[in-house]
Amino acid sequence: MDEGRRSFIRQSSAMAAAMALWSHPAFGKLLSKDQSVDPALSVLRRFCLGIHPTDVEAVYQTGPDAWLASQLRHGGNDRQVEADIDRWYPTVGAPVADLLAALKQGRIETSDVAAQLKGAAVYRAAHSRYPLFEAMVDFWTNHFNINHATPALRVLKTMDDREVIRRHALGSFRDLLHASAKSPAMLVYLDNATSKKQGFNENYARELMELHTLGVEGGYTHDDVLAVARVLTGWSVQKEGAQRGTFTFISAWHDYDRKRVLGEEYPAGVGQPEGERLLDQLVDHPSTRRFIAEKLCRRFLSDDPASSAIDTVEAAWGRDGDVKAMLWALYSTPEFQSANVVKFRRPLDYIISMIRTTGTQLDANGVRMVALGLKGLSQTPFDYSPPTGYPDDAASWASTSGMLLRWNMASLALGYRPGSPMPARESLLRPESLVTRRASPKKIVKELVDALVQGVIDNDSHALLVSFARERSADLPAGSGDVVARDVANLLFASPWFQWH
Amino acid sequence: MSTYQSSNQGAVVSIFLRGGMDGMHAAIPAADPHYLGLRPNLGQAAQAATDLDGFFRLHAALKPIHDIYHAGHLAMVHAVGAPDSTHSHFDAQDYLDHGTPGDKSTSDGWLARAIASTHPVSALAGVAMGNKVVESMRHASQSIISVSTLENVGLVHPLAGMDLWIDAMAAGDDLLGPITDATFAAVETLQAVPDPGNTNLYPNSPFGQQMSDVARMLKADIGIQAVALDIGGWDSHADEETMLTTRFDDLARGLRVFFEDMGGLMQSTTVLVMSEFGRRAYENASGGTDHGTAGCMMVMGDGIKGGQVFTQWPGLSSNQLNHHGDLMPTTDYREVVSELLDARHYYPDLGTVFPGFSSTGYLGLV
Repeated sequence: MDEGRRSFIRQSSAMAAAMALWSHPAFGKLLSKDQSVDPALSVLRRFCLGIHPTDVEAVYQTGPDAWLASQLRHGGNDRQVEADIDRWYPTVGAPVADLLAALKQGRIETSDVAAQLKGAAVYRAAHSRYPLFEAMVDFWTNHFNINHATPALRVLKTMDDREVIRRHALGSFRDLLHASAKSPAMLVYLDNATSKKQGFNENYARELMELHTLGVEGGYTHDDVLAVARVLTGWSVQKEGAQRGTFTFISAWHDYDRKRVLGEEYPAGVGQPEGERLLDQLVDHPSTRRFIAEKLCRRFLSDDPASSAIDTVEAAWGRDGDVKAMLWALYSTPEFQSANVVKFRRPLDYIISMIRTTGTQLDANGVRMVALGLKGLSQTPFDYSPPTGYPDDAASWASTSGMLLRWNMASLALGYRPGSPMPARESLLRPESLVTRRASPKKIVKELVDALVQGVIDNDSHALLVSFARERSADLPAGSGDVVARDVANLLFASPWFQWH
Repeated sequence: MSTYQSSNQGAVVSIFLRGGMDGMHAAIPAADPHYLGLRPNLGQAAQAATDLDGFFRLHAALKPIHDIYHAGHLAMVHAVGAPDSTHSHFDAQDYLDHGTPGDKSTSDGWLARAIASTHPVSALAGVAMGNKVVESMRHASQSIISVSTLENVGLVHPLAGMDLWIDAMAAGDDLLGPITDATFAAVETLQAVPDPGNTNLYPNSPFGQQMSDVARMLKADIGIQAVALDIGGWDSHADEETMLTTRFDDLARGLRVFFEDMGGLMQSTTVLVMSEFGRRAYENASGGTDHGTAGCMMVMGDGIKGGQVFTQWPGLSSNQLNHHGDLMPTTDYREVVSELLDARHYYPDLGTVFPGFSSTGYLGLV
């Protein structure tokens, strides 16, 4: 690169920095007032982990309201995707008894069961026709976090994923919480499975209030933690027989004395029903609806959502915590439609977005590559050990090494290897397929900006990309349009316009 | 001679054991008359443990650091904790990371504030190991470098000048702009860090490999004042003996190799090992312990008054434990850290590191 070019880039970057000085400090880059995002694209940008060309088609065909209605009505397993999963990852759909039998006979290992669930999570996120459903699966997976830490959890999480998270992802919070509290994986992960009257375990009781329902500021005390732990003594997992690996209430372990939780009396002599009552008490507590509403706003709007937006979502809670109604409410907020209210992509969103926006079809090997990428960026599904779930704020993910890894991940996915001057023809991502053949550098940029960031980019950055594309075109041998497309995609994937959405 | 004004302060390596490390299982109060009554099963570990001072015994899996302790370069501080205790991992880690127990409004980390108070000249003054931002290193204006590994640092894309294009695209983003600048500055320095080829001496675990990288960077004298690294997996609610045996072994072997590898540099380096809280004094029915309050810290460095357990032991009888049944904290962890920063590393402004804290007298670690 010649010195003139270097100084041009430096000047542009100095100009942008100077502009940032007289606008207010901001995370992400802002669009100017004369630029706006089509509401049809807003709904995709917020609600999808990544936007597939067919998502764009669908939303343009029906309009954003109908698209959202359809996603909420039909959201669930995508039959075509599930057919591949049944073939590649048969343990994902297997009943627990079959899984345990296969393990016992040595036909599979618990590590296979874990790897298959991870593979399915990636494949579903990358290819489902119901991206909002998959986004909510990701949301609840982190909310009710369980990791593949031990052999038991590597097996039991498969059932939790299927019967708790995916079954209720667009349902009601009440159903979700009741299902989660009886999920063998959760009871093992947070140690309630071994909690007995004599020597009860408070781990689940505490996280149930702190992380699942009320929130750490939700107004409970240490005594409430102890009381909740006692209410839930005996909520355990069947260890033997035909029902092995399913929920069971062990009466002999239960503390039948009276208790007091959050000011309510729990009379003596009640077994499992007092646990059910407790879960309902937590669902109905005002701290819970606020906590969940705020978390949804932080997931889909920004790290610091307007309290008016949280109010709107909270008001849609209904009797049981109606997930669909809350998502409609989110959609109705002014922040939802603003291109300048942005959310930083976590590694999962980042990688899935690269896959979906380029219209890449993964095969089982592609899924393995994505899984490796997620591991490199520290967000492998079901591998986060603290019960908080993966962090969901920009400051946790936007680190120096984290960014460097992202930029390199994009280069690797585009076929570059350390030390090789040209990308391999065979590569995970082939953005050249989105570009008209023999397009000019300017046209390549236009088409990729539309496909990869839905046209959301400011004029200066757009001009930089065009300069970059022209320079690459001039440097490379004639007919290297494909390489130019990959390089433009690489620079775009490395830019703030792709990190925020 | 170093090119960095601040490197005469040496380096603090802060290791955070996330999840609540059971201090009573690391330095076991074996001679306390109530110990075995509280921990009839877990307490069996005291038999295989090695003696520290006639009262405390070091868990067998921590044996690799026993020699360093007896050579006088490693000290334990026991019954240490934060004054505003909480049983929430979340809150307790926040308090420790931010250095302001009881105050959740603090958004920056204590290590980052410590570094900022010295007006560092090196872009690599603060290094956080791993891909994610380590909370204790979070700071609004101070750029903190996170290093995942020293292997293959740099861009994969072959174009010379790709860094400038990426930088230009990021300019104007108040979060990503500075991070991008800092990344490329750090890459340049880190690419020049020599590889002594001794990584295989370290445990082949994430912690071991990170400690190997930390030693490499400190030896390269690139202006590092503080390193933060996290080890997870200490939340031993169940089957604690098995769980901690693995964790202790990894920790102790990593520390041992690091100490030997660093050699004379340990005179200006301090390794600090801490956790958000200790655990309940009595064991639970799952063979583990629930969240508690006071725990123990480890301090390692050449010149530390090691070979002793610093403690005002509160005792383990029911009226000596706090009302949850936890070991009572008798030493504020900030006392330990303040002494190290002040007397060993000459930090000028402890008031900004631990706002609102005033020392009631150093323990004599230095």
